[in-house]
Amino acid sequence: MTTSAKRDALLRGTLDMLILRTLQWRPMHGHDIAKHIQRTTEDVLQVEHGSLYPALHRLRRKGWITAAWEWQKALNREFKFYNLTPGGRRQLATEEAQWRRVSKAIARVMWPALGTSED
Amino acid sequence: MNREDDLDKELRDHVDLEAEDRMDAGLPRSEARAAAARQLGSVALIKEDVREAWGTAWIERMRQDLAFAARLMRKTPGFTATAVLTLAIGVGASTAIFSQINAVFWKTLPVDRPQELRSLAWFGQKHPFVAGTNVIAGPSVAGIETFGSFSYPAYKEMRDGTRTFSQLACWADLGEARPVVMRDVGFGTVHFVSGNYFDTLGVRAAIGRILTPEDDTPGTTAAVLSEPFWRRSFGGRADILQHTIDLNGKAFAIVGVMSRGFFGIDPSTIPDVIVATGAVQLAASTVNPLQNPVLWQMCRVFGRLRSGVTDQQARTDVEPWLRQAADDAVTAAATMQRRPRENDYDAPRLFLLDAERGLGTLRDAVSTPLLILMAVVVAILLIACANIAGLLIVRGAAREREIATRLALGASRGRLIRQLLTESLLLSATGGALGVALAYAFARTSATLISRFMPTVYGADRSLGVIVSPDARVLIFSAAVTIVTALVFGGLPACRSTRIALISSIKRSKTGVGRSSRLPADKLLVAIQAALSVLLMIGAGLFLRTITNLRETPLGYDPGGLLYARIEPRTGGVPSAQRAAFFERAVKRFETIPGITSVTATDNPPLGRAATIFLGAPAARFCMPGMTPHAERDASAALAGVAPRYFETLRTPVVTGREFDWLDGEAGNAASSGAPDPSRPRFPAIVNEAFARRFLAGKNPLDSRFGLNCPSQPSAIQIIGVVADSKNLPRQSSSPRIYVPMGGSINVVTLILRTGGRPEAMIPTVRRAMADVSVNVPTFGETTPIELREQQMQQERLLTNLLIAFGAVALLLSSIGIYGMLAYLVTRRTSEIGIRMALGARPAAVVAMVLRESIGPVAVGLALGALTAIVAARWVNTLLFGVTAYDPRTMAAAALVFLAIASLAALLPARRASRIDPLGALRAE
Repeated sequence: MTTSAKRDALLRGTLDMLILRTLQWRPMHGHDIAKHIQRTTEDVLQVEHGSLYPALHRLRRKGWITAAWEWQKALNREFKFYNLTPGGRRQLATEEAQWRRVSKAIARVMWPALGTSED
Repeated sequence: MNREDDLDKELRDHVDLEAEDRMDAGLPRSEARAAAARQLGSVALIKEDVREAWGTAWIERMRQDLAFAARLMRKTPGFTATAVLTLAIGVGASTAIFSQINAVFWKTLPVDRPQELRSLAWFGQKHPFVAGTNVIAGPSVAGIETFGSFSYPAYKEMRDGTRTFSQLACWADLGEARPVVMRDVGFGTVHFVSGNYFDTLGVRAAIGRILTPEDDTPGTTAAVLSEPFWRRSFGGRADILQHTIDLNGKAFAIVGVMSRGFFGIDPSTIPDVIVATGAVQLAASTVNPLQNPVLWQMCRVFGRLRSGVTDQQARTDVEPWLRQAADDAVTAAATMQRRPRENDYDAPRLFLLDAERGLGTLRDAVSTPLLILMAVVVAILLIACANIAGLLIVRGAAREREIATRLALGASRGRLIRQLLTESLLLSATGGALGVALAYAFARTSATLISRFMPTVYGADRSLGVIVSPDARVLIFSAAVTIVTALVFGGLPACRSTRIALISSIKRSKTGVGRSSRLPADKLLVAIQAALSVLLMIGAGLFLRTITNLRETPLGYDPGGLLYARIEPRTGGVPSAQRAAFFERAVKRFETIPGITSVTATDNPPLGRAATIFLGAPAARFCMPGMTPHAERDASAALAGVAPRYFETLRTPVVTGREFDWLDGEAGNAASSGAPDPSRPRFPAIVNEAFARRFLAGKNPLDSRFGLNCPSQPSAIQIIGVVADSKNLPRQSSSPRIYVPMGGSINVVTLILRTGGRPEAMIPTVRRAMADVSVNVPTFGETTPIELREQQMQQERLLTNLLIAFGAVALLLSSIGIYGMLAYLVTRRTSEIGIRMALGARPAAVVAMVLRESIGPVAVGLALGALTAIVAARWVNTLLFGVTAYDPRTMAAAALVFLAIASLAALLPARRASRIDPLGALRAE
């Protein structure tokens, strides 16, 4: 339990938020989500694929996303697609606001001159 | 599709997609797949984390742990068998003893609303309203030794007067002093109960009906049987209500059979036949006990409180009626003895005791031995724990590399401890289940176990009203014991073996020397085992010496070679006027039997179970010219009627004077018929030395006279002899005794025969000889005083046997423990020993070196065990005889036995160490 707890502490805040954000526009399957996060952050955030699935199942248990097996014609096979729920949308908004506040606060500590001038 | 398959497929999809992406980027198929798998990471770990997210991880982990533990158990059958058996003994023994404690202390009576039942007891320092010692001891309440019985008139006063009890009932067990002969059946316990007895308890009959107040008349002929008696004596026949049962020559109609669990209210005396108090005359020899106000043995009283009544209210309600009865009895006693009324007495105080679990007699009697046994089995359990913990440490050492590898692969320490504890729990549960099964099998026979703890006054081997059946409380206890045991024996090794320096453990060879062998944990465990074992062995030794002392204590007579046979002439139709002659005829017939050297008879034989409980109390009050006693007991002595040659037959020395002859018994009769023989005293008696010392100091006993009919005839009886003291029980001290010629009023007489060979072999001859005297008066209850003495020692014998057995188990377990510790040490130090031997150490020196390692913990353990024995001593002192709990010889003997066995256990690994091949040991490095 200690090992996963450590990973959670490191990632939960950011990874959960990133997943929710990724699912904002359309349902996706796990591999898609990982690739999407990687692509949009221009490979700065290397999503550890292994930690993606526990996070997905956690979010699903909290009721922020749903999952369903869907046929994908292009590849002619079934994939498990995750979809954002209204609750998930609200959670994303909350986390976004919180993130903004925290990063602003951190920015103020790191670059005081910059922060004050910006205000 | 279940959740696990679902997850599998999802992860497979992920790898497929990732691999395709990489193939698109130009990688060959196999490399792409490998890279994709690498990117994903450990599937097992992911699955575990996902399960964590599901919240079901612990189930899966437990399943894994259990599977792993089960595999491990199967792989090491030797270890598993040892541990499981050890635990089965520990858990089984504690469950068995606990179920006894449960049965005795917590089970309620199988009657209607038992919590409303109260039993009554009373206390008063001066109680002239009781004749002599005619009262039964009650329980001790807050340090007061109460009296537990009432006279019938006192019972009636209370019953008719009370407003707080809906019913008050009376019952009496006449005990073996007044046996009731059941023709064709033999002997049985008869309870005499008031008509409202069953109604008060709220029980019904299984067959027929219960007794009612209408049955309680002097002419009553209704009897109710207990279920076990019905089965035993009537084969459980269905037409039982058509039958009668003959009690002391009077036919009783069987009107009902009680249900199976019913045993009355006192678990120490369970009735075979229950009749109304109206019939008590059939067993009483003298005045009608129901009208006698000074005979306070007739009724043991219990009642059912009305709802909403407090104990205090009930007490204040009933006590005045008791005091009224006592006051009436004081007047009656004065009238009966033709003396002035004794106004200086204590009005009796009444006590109400909870009776929902039955009377406390049984609890009082068996609590000390049961608690001793509980302590013993807890000690065994602790030894078992220490033992298995030691074995697990050894095994933990062998698994050090496995554990280190798993830690290195990312298992957390908590996870590993949980895994190791699961293994302990599985072991413990297996052992526990086996133990409980053993205990259940044992529980079937264990009411007998409790009956063996009963003091002999209730008779040996009597069945008791104790229901020993394992119930929820026992099972919870066993489960708790099992779990706690697992935590105790598994906890320490689990913590120890997971505290490993990773790298060095993996790199180091399996016989590494890096870790110190002076780790105290395993030695501590050995010390604990040694301490507990030697404690149990000291206990066994003390009880062994106790029973030897009990057997060898001189009793003032020679019990070897004696045979007792009882006869009961009244039911055989011998009227009391002819009984003295009848006894004489019987004795003289027996004297002609070859192989019998002498024969006598008495109403109160040594070691006999007679006369401690009811009616014919053995203590008689006497008076002497010029003697003014300060208290009741200053003028009472045990009384026995004896036939001629009594002291010759028992080999009790006659100090001065002479024994009785047949004329002594008839002298009184002849005198009363008007033709006295002037050369003989009219009423002769023999006293023992204790009597002479205490009451006749400085006088010539043969000139002394006393009286038993006080105070009107203080000097009617002439002392004609003084005999040496003899004791009824080994534990008693000699007390004053009076012997008088055995008269004709006696109902049950014990014939005592001195035989040349084995007394038991004479029983058939004796039975035939008695048939010559009278076919209507058979002998019964043939036994020997040796046998009676053994029966009286049952409690001690049983404790001794159990302590020896448990001591042996403890010894065996600690030997395994010592062996394990040293074997472990030798394994860990193989290379060191190899080097020493390569450098020239002789095998003897190596053996000594290894043995030295065990000396410390064993010495500490022995000292600790001896200390504990001294502390625990006070507790068992009352059960010991002729030896104190601090007996240094017993302690030394126990320590020696332990050392002898322990050194055998230690020698095995030590010898192995001395045979180590130095080259081999170093090469293995």
